[in-house]
Amino acid sequence: MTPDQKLAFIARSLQDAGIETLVMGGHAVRYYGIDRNTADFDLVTSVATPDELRLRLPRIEALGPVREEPVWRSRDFARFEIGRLPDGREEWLEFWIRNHLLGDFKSLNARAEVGIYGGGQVAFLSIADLMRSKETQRESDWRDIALLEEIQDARHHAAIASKPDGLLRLLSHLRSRRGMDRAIEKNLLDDPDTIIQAVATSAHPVTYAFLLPLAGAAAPAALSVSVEPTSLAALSTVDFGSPKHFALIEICRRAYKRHAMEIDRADKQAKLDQNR
Amino acid sequence: MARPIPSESVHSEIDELLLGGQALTASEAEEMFLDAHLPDLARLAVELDDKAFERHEAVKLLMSHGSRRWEDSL
Repeated sequence: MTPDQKLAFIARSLQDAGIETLVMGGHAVRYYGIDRNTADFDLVTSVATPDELRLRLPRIEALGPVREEPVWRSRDFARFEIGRLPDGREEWLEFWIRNHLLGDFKSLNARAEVGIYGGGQVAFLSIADLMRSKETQRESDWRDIALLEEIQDARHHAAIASKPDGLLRLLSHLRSRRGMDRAIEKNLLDDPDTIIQAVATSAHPVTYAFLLPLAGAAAPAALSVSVEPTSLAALSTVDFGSPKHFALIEICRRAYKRHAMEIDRADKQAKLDQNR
Repeated sequence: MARPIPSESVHSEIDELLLGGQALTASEAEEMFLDAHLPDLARLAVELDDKAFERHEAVKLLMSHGSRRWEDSL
């Protein structure tokens, strides 16, 4: 059984046992199109406590014997060894019960994407939630985010012709330089009314930085993180699509990343302090 | 208002991060330099003309660590 097939098997076994899950981590990254080797099965679940998992997992015969590994986020996360790979490495089944970067399971489930993976139907975190789940202190997660941003933009580009709000959706979620270059190349930023709507509904500071030189007086209703005043002032003076504009976008991207890393660091520290 | 970063001091500041042990690799030192100077970099976009901005060592560094362009896929 390949790792993809094993994931599909695990997801189906959990579903049959009444345990709701969404796939995140390396397999979700693979599902969205990034080549990745992974031996872990990372899930977010609606199960309320680790104790409930401890009770229910051993009863799922299809999974075979499971061995729990102690973790430091013991109220939010649980980890079980479910077997060994031919090279001797452990196979881990990991559950997030509460993830500080994500919303509640119900809202994640409402946005989830179900697709064929490993020969079965598997429910994954939406690409936006997957990116959010990777806003950690690890540089490797940010490399994944950069690729996922390109994939999200490419998907939105592809949906323009088939969805009535496709253009607005693309512009209000633009995250990658490649997505932006392609929008310029296809003259998708020519309608001022669409730009104003896209700015108003944008939530990410990088998207706002992309659109700001065209925005006039328009502003986002709510940004997840504000743009630093010096950058904001500079963005309102530069020519759209100029080297200065793209440099300022990179500045906003870096500022967002540093802010997110600091939040993740603070959360880890708070959890460690609680455990002392 | 803070003084703009002199273009000629960018690499010496990065060298200092390496020599002082704050960074373990050149790439890490460059990242640290950029993150420490984000408002300064934004200010350069206002204070310098287009050519001087593009020639500035800190801007070159920023863009070399930045996102891929669409043409990169060709």
